[in-house]
Parts: sequence; C-alpha cells; structure tokens
Amino acid sequence: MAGPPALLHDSIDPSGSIEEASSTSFAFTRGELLRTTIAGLVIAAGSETSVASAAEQRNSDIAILNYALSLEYLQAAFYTEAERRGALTGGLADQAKVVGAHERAHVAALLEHLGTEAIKRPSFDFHGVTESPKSFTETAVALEDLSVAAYADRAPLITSRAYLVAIVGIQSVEARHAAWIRRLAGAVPSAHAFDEPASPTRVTGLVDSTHFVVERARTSAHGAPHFTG
Amino acid sequence: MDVGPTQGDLRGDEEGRIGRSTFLRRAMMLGGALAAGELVLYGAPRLTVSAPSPSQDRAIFAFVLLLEELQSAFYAKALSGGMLKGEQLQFAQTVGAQENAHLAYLRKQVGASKLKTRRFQFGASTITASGFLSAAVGIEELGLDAYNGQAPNLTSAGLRGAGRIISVEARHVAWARSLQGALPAPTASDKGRSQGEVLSRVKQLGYVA
Repeated sequence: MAGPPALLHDSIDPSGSIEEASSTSFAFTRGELLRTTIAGLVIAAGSETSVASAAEQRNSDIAILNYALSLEYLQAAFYTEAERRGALTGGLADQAKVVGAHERAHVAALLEHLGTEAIKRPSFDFHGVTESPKSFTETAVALEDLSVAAYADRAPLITSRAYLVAIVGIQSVEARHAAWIRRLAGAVPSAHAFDEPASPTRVTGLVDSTHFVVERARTSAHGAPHFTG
Repeated sequence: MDVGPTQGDLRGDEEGRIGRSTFLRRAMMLGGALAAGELVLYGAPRLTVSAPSPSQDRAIFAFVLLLEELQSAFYAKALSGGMLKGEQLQFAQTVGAQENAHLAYLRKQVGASKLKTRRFQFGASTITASGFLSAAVGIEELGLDAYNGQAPNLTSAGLRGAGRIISVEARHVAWARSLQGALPAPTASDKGRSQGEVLSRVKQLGYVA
C-alpha cells in the first residue's frame, strides 16, 4: 500500500502556490534560521552510524530540537498572521485559530527545552498567501504535510528520552493538523498507508524556496505592513 | 509492570536531559515496587521495562499488532454490512486498506512463528452509521494512544519504521473525529497510554472474542 514515494514537492505543493509565492518575491538573503539548523544537523547525521559521546549526542539532540523549532516558528507565524488578516471564515477560521494556538504552544515547549541554546525567531514574509482562503489552504496543507515528513525523519535520532517524549507528542498532533486541513481542502486526509520522511536538506530547501523566511520583513506590495513573526 | 511512558506533556518528564537507557534503568528499579495486577494480554507479550533493543522492538510490535488486527477486522466487518455511504464509506475503505498495510508490516517485523490467532466480535457499532463513527473514533484513538505510549521505548530503527505508521494513525483519528463533528486536534500534544491502560480499554470494549 505504501507505493512509490511521491515527489514531496508535488504532494506538499500540488498547485504550485509555494512556487508562486516564491516567484513573487525579490532578492533576499537567507536567514540565520536555516544556516544554523543545517550546520547543527550535520552533527546529527554524523552520530547516526557511530557510537557518539554523551556530548555529541546532546549536541545532536539540540540541533534536532532547533530544527523542529524553526518549523514551528514558521507555522506559528503563518497561522497568527492568517488569523490577524481576517480573510478566513467558517471551518477555515476555526482551523487557523485552533492550529495556530497549537503551533505557538509547540514553540513555547521547544523554547523551554532549549533554554539559552534556542535559535532566535526570524522574520517572516508570507507574500500575501494568508490573504485569501485558497492560498491559505494550499500553503497550510503544504506546511503541515512537510512538518509531518520532517519529524518522521528526525525523531528516531533523538537520544534524550525527555526530548523524544515531547517530540512524539508534537509529531502526532502535526499529523492531525495535516489531516484536518487536507479534508477542508477537499483532499483525502490520509492519502498513504505510510508517511514518507523528508531529510533536513529537502525540507530546508523547500522552505527556502518559499522565501517566507527573511532577514527583515519587506514593505508589502499590497500596502499593508507585513507580519514580522 | 508494563512499559508506561504516559508523559506526553510538552515540557517532557522530570527526568530532564538524562539518556533513554538511564531513565529505563531507574524506572525498572521503581517498577519492582508496583503491583503487577491482573492483565489480560490477548496473546500479546507483556512488555517489561528495559533499554531499547531489537527484541523489545519486536515485543512492542507484537503488542500494537493486536490494535491493528482489531482495526482491520472492524473495517472489514463494517464494509461487509453495506450500510456505509458517502464519506463514511470512503473513510472505511481508505483507512481499512491502510490498516491492512500496517498489519502486513508489523507481521513481518514480529515474525511468522510469533503470530497469534485472534477472533473479534463487533455488535451494534458496525450495524448503524452513527454507531460506526463513534466506534471508529474510539478504535483509532486507542491505536494511536498505544503507539504513542510505546514510541519512546523503540530503538532508532524501530521508531524509523513505526513513526511512519503513527502519523498515519493520527491522520485517521483526525479524519474520524472530523466526520463526527468533533475537533480533529483538541490538544497541542498527544499523550500516549501504557500497555496496561490500552489493554484495560480493549477488555472494556469487548471486541476481542
């Protein structure tokens, strides 16, 4: 039933809304966020095959939690902006409100675990995707499926039990979010028997391509100030 | 005592940053003081507390196999009745097929020689449309709780396989709840249940003949 793994990009961005969003932005410098997490995750990948020291294991765990934090920052900012814009009604508005609160709780929980080692929240520019129900829905499906894939890939590498318990609890809720928004989008909530993991390189490459993460929020083409996280 | 990490709390448990194996050694010492109690295992191995290992992975898979068999049998029975329509029918067909795929995966992990033959019985829950939905929500939540309770006890390799199933089970729960008109995701973090809690619930439901 698993079938061949679908191209993640197709499954997370079937209508090209992310690509469209990225094509509307102008030059930007990649944020501190992704550089930090990629650098940290190289350590995580290295400890996969060899017996790592306690310090190496800990560094690897911290890198994974910061990677998770980067994705939760992104999602929290997305839903918070959508809610503030007020373009959503009915089931979509309910989804944005409830899921947004969850993503903010995930950020808070990860910050508590990471303490002073947490990466800073970057600025975001969603290029208007939160301003219509259609683009909101397409982007939300993409972000939720992507976070499920990211957690599926990294959770098995966590060595601290406390961290793993926290991540497992969050991962399960991200999958509920994905099913919820997929149903609202008219898609099958659970399309495959097995969810496909996505590597950090793949995930950060996709997030990078959206240009949602910016050094500094730019002035909106729509004239309204953009949400800065 | 059964393996019972139910601390799905987002702040994690009080063990802080100690390793998984250290936690389990401590838990095992404490476990000796706890009464085992009467536990109906339905042919599943009793899970004992120890550090993640391939053999413990197989025992955990043999335990969650019970839940997957229950789910698979439930959808097969509901679909054979022919009373499901519209999205409920789509749900039962889609989810039923996915549970069968999970079943095949777990049976392979457990090994043919360790498989048990179990029979299931479903009453009114599979006869009426409304009964079907509430039973589906209960069965899916039980499966998810069982997996989430055991996930932290798996080896890295075990979790790499099971993790791809767990998120699908969470999708099933959200879909079923949504069909019922309930919030698909009522809390920010899912808490797992211990083997003992899950088996008590299985007994209460009375689906295993």
